[in-house]
Amino acid sequence: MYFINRTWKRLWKPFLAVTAAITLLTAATSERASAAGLLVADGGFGGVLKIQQQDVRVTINNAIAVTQVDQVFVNTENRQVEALYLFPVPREASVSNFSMWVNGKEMIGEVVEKERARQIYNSYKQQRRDPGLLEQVDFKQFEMRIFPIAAGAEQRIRIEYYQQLDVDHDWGTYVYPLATNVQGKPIDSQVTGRFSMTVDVKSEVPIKELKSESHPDDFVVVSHQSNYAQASMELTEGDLSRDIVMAFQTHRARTGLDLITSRPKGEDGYFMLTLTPGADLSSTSEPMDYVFLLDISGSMSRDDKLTISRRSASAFIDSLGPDDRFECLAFNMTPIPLFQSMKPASTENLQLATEFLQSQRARGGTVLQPAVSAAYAYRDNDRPLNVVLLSDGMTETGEQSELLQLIQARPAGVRVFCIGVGNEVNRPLLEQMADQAGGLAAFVSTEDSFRRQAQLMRQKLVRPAIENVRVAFDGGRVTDVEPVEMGDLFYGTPLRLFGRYGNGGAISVSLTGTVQGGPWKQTVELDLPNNDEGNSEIERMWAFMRVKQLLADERALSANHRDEIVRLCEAYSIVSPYASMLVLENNDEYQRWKIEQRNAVRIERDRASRASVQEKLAEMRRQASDNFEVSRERMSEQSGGPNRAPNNPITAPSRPSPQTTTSNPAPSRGVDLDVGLPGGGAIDPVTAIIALGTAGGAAFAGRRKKKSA
Amino acid sequence: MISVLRNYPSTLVVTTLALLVWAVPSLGSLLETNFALIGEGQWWRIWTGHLVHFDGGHLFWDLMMFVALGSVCERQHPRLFPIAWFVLATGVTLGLAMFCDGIGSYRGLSGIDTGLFVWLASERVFRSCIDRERVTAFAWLLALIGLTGKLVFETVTGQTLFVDSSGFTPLVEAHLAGVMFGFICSLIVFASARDEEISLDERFVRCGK
Repeated sequence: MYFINRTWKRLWKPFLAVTAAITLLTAATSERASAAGLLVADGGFGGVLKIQQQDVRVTINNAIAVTQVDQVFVNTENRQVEALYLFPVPREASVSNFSMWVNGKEMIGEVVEKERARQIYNSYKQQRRDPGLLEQVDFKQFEMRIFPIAAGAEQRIRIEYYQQLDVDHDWGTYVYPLATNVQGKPIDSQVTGRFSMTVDVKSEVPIKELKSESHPDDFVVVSHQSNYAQASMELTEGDLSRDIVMAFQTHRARTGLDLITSRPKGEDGYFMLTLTPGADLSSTSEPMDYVFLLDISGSMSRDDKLTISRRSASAFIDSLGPDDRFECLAFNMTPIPLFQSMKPASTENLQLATEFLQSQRARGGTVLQPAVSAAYAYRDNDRPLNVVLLSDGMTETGEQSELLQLIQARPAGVRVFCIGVGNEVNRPLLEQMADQAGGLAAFVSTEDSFRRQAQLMRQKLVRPAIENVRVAFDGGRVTDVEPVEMGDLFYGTPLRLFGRYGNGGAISVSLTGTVQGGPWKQTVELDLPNNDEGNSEIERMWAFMRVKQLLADERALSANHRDEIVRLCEAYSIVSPYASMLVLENNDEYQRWKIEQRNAVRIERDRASRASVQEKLAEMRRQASDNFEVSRERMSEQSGGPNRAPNNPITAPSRPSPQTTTSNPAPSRGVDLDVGLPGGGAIDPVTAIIALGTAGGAAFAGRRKKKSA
Repeated sequence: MISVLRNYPSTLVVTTLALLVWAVPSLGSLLETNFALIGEGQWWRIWTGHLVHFDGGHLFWDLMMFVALGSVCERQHPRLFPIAWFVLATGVTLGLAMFCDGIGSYRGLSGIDTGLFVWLASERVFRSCIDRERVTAFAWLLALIGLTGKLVFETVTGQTLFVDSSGFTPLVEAHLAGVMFGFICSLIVFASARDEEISLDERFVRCGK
């Protein structure tokens, strides 16, 4: 102990003066394990710090969410400790920053080429100046180590990440993942002080509702305008054991395109184009078959995943139509069928299915192949077969390639839909399976509404899609469009396209695809601005998508895009297998290592952009509260007060008040499309009754005339 | 039953076919009006698409109106009615192909229903004018103006009145084409009427008095 104290006394000043290194690694597991192991072995102090305060600020701009988490840890032990903090990776998230406060000053992380980052990190480690390590543990979670923190000391950190949100049938879902296990044990999840969360949602498409699925009684929700809503929560000694799930509904009556842009001065611009299916995409009355594959392997016992699966499957079967048929297969090493044939979705069969699902216990390994092959055997020629896989995707690595081959070799008329269950889920595998099988992947969190998720998924199954959507641009010097292949447009799930442009002004966007076997094409005009600094989020998202595409190209074609990936990662602060995040203690250290502080510059700009948006939003709030009586009434209705029914969603006013419509954060740049979908002549009851009356009158008059003649 | 068969054969055939197609859903995709497939040679879809419907509600209202209007029109013009049906079916499909670029396929009898209504009402206006029944002529004219006004409103605003069609896009253009071809039918029938001995010019002169 004496030695430790002496070492600490000798090193803390040089440490604070020289280094704070945090490395974000997304490379091979062995390398991450090595770095983490060395830290523990070298320090050997251990200990989990208590979270004293946690403030989460979420800005959702047209389904791009920027999450900023400020956390204050406190060392309650009477000795210096090494802190360990873990948090699950949000879906499709790209961590853009990790900051630590050293001597009251925020030190921002910079992304550098991976080998160089490791070299720099190791140089500090050898000098026993190794205060923190943030790493991504495979695809599931980030792990952060901070060392040393003195007895009784506080340590403030900030994490920022970007993600595209899943949108289903006009519902966008944001999950702040909290419920997770580490090595089979739940993370200690209690804030000793304040836990606050603010969610700002703005959208080009009008927002109909914003609500919390998980914490309806804790959030106050206010709809300031039709395209801006806000939710906030503040708790003392808040519980962090449950995911926080926010859902917002936007509504587009007709299928259309919405454009948002960002163009810093003196640079090429960025754009995000969203193709949103509207209510004009029609349903088919075609009955379908469903096989539900329920994973009951050992990994499903953790995190209540099997319970989520059971409830999701039950909700899904409950949502089937009277002409649909279904079968359930539980599987671990081998498939266990419920009926061994397709049965109609009757109440009796639903009851049998519920009992079957309830009787399953999670045990054994996961072998998906026999289960998927068995599901294919249920294919009937007179109707399509949908295989719905409910799993965490934790299958053997060796099996994955065979499984993907099996998916590709599926019989005609079979689609595979994957529902990832829980936070600890092999998202890449499930997404790849669904993509290759003409289906979709969805992910269900503990706190989600299973019924709603089931209904949304089913709507996607029965609704026709625009297949092979392609977009071409004329004008604007548009380049680097991601993704290159847009794929199919499913009802309820928008497609997003990111790209860059050189020239502002009008451009022509041509969309093509296949609708019900026939070709579809439409061309629309859009305006690209010469200056727009309100949506800087899309810059990083564009780069993130580009990096993803380059990595996918490398996997598929064995091409080498390393230099380009590193360039993008360093420029836009994206952690990848080729680039890591490093935080040094002060600017001199960055200069010493010749690391250009691009992230610091970008973050400053991002924050300025967000501050500008926040100012506009604040102005909107002020204008909305001009009519104090109305606002107060609405607030009391929306804050979950005594008069409000539980889970009663808050709806935005259907028509914004005249004084509030003048200050939208950005003008709407959306266009409706005519989708080549079924049209029909429809006789409405009023016209029919009038027509029948006149026809009856004609017949009666004719008869009377005949009689009189 | 035999008298129904004898008096309304075409109405009965169309109604039976529409119900049959409804009873066998797989026929729908074979028969609906799909412009891309018509272009590939599946020409029967020009006419058969009118016999296919999206759902029960769609079929109910379309068919009810067709049975009522069709039986009145067929009773009055038993020989011309099947020809008029084909003219209306062809005209509605043609109108959709010309004015509905974004629509891939079409189903429903309503375009023909509208055409039949316009045929019936226009003819009544003409006849009432000839017979100097101004009140009757005005009443039929009012019904025509009401229908046309509704369609114009729907075309201008892009919204359909009283229609609940979550499963498909209601097409006002089908009804407008029906109005046009229904009016053409009434003119042809009126002009070729053999039971009137006076000239067309004289009829209008008398109508204007």
